Amino acid sequence: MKNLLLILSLVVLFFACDDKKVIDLEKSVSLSKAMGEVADEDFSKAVEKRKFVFPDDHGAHPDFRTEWWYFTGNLVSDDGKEFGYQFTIFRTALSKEKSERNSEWNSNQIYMAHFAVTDIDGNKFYFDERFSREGNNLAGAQASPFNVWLEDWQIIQTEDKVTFDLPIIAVKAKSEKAEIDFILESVKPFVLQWDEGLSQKGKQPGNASYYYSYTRLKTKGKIILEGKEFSVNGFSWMDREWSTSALSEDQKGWDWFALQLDDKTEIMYYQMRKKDGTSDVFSKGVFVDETGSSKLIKKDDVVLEVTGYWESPDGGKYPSEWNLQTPSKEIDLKITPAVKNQLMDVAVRYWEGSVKIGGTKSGSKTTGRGYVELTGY
Amino acid sequence: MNSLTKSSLRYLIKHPWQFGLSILGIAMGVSTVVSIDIANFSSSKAFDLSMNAVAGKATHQIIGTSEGIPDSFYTYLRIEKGYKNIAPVIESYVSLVDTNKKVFKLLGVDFFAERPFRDYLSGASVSIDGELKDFLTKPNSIILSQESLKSLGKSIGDTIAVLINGTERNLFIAGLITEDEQNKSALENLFIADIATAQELTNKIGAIDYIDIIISNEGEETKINNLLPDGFALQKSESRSQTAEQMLEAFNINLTSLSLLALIVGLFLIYNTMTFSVVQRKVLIGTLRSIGVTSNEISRIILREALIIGIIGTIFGFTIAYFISKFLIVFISQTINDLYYVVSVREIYISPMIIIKGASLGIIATILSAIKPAKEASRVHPRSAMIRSEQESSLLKKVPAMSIAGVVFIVIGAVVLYIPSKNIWLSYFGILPIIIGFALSTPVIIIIVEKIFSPVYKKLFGITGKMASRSIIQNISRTYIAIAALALAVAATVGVGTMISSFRSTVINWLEARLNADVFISAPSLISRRNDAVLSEEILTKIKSLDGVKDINFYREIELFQEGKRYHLIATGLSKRSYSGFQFKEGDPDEVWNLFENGEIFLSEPFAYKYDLNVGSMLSLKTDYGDKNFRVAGIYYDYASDQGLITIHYNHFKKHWKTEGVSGISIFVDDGSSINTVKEKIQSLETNGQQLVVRTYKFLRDSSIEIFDRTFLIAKVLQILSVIVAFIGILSSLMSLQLERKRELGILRANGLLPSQLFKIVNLQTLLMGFTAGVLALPLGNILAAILVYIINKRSFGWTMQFEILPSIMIEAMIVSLAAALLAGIYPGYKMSKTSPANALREE
Repeated sequence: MKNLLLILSLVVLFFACDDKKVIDLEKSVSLSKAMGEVADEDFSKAVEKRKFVFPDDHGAHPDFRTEWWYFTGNLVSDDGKEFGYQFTIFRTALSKEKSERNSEWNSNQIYMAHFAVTDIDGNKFYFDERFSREGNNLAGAQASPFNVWLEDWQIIQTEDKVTFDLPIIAVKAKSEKAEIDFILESVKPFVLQWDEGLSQKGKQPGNASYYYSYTRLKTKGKIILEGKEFSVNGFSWMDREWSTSALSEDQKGWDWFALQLDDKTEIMYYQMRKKDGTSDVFSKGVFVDETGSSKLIKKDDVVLEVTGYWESPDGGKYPSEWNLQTPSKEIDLKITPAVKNQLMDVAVRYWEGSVKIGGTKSGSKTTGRGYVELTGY
Repeated sequence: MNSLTKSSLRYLIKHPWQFGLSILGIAMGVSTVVSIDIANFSSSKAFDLSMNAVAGKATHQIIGTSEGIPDSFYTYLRIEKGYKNIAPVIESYVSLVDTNKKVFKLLGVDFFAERPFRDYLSGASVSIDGELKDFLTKPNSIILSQESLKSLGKSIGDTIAVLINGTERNLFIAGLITEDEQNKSALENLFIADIATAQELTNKIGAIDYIDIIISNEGEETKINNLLPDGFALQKSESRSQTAEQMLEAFNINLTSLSLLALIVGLFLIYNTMTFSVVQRKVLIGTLRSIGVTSNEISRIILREALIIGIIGTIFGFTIAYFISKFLIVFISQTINDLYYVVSVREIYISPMIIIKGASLGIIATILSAIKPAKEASRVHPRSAMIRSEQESSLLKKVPAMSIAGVVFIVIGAVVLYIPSKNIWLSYFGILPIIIGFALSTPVIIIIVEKIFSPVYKKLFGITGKMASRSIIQNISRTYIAIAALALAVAATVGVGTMISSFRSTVINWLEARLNADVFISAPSLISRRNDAVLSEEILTKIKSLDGVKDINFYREIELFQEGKRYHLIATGLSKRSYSGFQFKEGDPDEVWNLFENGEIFLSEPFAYKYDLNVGSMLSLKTDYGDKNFRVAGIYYDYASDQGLITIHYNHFKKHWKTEGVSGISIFVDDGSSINTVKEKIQSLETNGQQLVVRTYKFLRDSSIEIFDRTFLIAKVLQILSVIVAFIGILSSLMSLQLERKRELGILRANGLLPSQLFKIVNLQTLLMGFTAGVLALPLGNILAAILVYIINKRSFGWTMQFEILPSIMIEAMIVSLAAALLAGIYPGYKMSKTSPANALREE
């Protein structure tokens, strides 16, 4: 759910890196024009349904403009401390075809990565970002063996074993103060989002993405924060999406929820916000049961209500507490940020953080953990 | 304003010629010194700025072998070793293909790695406009500053034709950077390209020039050093500009020394001017004293006058200097570009030191030179002050003592110069007493010249001739300073002129011996004296196999950066017939070539001198396989580089360095073939767009001499400037001298001397003074030249030169002295002859 974010970040990278203003989307669109963004028509588009083939589709789809490998997770250390993490590698293409040139540095593919660790008990948030070109092997993505990397921030296949079409992978990233090194193994099959993996984002045909998720991956490894090492366990969520779409002109941003309930079910829901403050019809989600079979959530299937706000140090006002209900109240969840300030203060600001979930499901009490992403505030 | 101040002001206003010339004299003295300082400072500042612009915030650079750093090593540091604060750089120069051939620096960078380094590429204030997608993906794309874009008359999307390493390329302007105050100078003359584009443009596929890195502590430094393969080095950012500054050091010192020579001349002038203004007014001062003005008041007036003249002169001096320096900068940057590196100096920079130096020269020196005359004037008894003969006889009494002191000074100077030392300042310091010694000996020379010429003058011109010659001695207190100043200025001209032409003929002899081939081929280079561009070995092979080519020489020049030093290494593939082109200073000529072919090295004389090396010394060089020691087989005379050269046999070079390509080729043409035919054949070779500069022996020889002459153009300019300074000085003192004799000449007129006879007396006298100055200047000039040739240049550069005494320069000097003196006499002579005796005598 991050395609625009990626384009915007790159635009900002070129324009004024240190001047981290929250860029409103309207302005950004004109900025991305200045960047010389290739007209959408040149790239492949997600127009019709496709057959997903693995492991090939784990790798890059360079003829689409944007793509990402997205991981979030909530973990507990051996001594009971709680952590959250986000690690995403983005790819964006400057052109559909790579021009034939002699230099190894020549690239039409640019990579960006975001990395964050939330120390929930310590009420601290660590984040960093990286950029690189694909050229000279500084960054890249391949399906077999499954490797995605931006310098030493990497997703690497560690063994031949494949579960539910996904090999066992290591996820590694390191910033000045925080470091993660995990092994991930999926415990459920992948879920094709929306219409068999074709996820419509706006009215125009082709304004859609190909989108699949692994909603529960067993995660084990270590987190090092300011030199202190924690051995951790928990669950991650992996999203894979590629597209050539952008927000429609009347769309302003989105609120995205990835919730892992303790009854081994998951809910994903995103709400596209329009400039007039209402929620777009293209808001949608998926419910995944403990066996891995999924059910669509349409806009009218849920009611999302903001019950609290958080003001960022620079004055931005972000929703900070929600109620997510089905109209029948069969599901009634209260979602609270694990740490209020999980603002990704990178080239383009957004809020992405670990959340705690409480409430009822089918009449009985339920709890869970998850991740929320808020853009366009 | 009290009446004394009024009197002093009125005196200055009443004597506009003297007043004006004093100011002009000081202004010229100040401007000569200041303009050189400004030109020097501006060129080094321009260089620093361009260095800083390139280095950005990098604390160190990782430099590779002669081939640069492989791409994969950078990736290794980023991915395997996790280094984040590193950035790849390619640096080169391009010149426009239009008429003015303006040079731009091409900086190849990876935008994604730039953030910690170059503010002007990623800072908060930077706004970049244009098609950045093109910048990354379209071949030959560059971005540049708005100002550069404007100066080129181009806009985004245009192409611009440039020459890179002798190959013409069309660059695409993908965008522009809007400059602000901080990055303005950094962006001047800069083309920024993506690292991929830079590799393609400079033909460095697979390699980068160096890696910028930010290192915060020594531990990190050691860690990185341990990662570096053989032939790589980690060096501090400053050391890059330091080595460049070291390169220019000798050049700058020599320029400064020339300005010091002008300074000495200027000082003499100022002293001369001030002494005159006091001496002239001794009668007036006597009058003032006799009506009750105290001696303190008198000296205060004179010092105040000096201050006023000094301030006005200095202000004028700075104004003139500003314009002269604009002119000098062109010469200086031309020389730097000819000999050392590419720099473009556009702005004039002035440091506080330059202002302090110029102002102290103009104001303090003026006041200091007024102190002695002021003291004397105030001390003199009112009555005796009114009698001029008193001053003259008092000076005449001092002549023997002055002459002895003069000799002592000259001996001191000689002793100082004899001290063996590499310190150039010490050598310059030795020149000063010699000059003072000569100045002190001036009166005795005047007396001798007069003794000889008085009868000659009498015989030739009758009584007017005798009167003219005698009055030089009668007015010796004034004439000697004027003569000494003129002599010194002319001597400076002779010294610098003789040095340059000695140097020139040495270089020509050397060129003729060394350039002993028929046709010379190289790639177009931005530095005239060096070939920084490279030809492929394929071209060498093609030329070798051409019909009519009998023998071939080639060489490759590379720079080695070694512990803060910059060595120039020449690898030569010489045919045996070219061996004779080398003249050895050290090393057995029968032996050296065998040793050379076995891997020993030759050093040029300046190199050996600079690093104190002899035959048999071992020199450690940074090869592509680590440091290696080489034995010195011979030291040869060479004037190609003041930095000195290391020469190695090409076959051995290839064992230690991986570098591909050659810098220059020279060929011998078969006896049966015509040089021009072979030249044309070479010019029509298929070279993949690589431009070749093909020159015949004569053309290369002439263009080398042209560069030499261009190098010394600035010396010539300074020479002319110091002659102008001296000329103005002479003019002002002789004019004052003559105008002051108004009364004396009036009496002569009243006694029946014709206006034409009066004119003759004045001019005969100044002519004799000019001649005396010439007589003094010739030996002093040659002594200065010898010091410049044998001591200063030897100590600065280590060059052995043949010293020549040149009659033409001496005749020229004599003509200059006589002409200056004559010209200075015309106006007063004319004026005096036109004044009616009654007017001239009216003050009685």
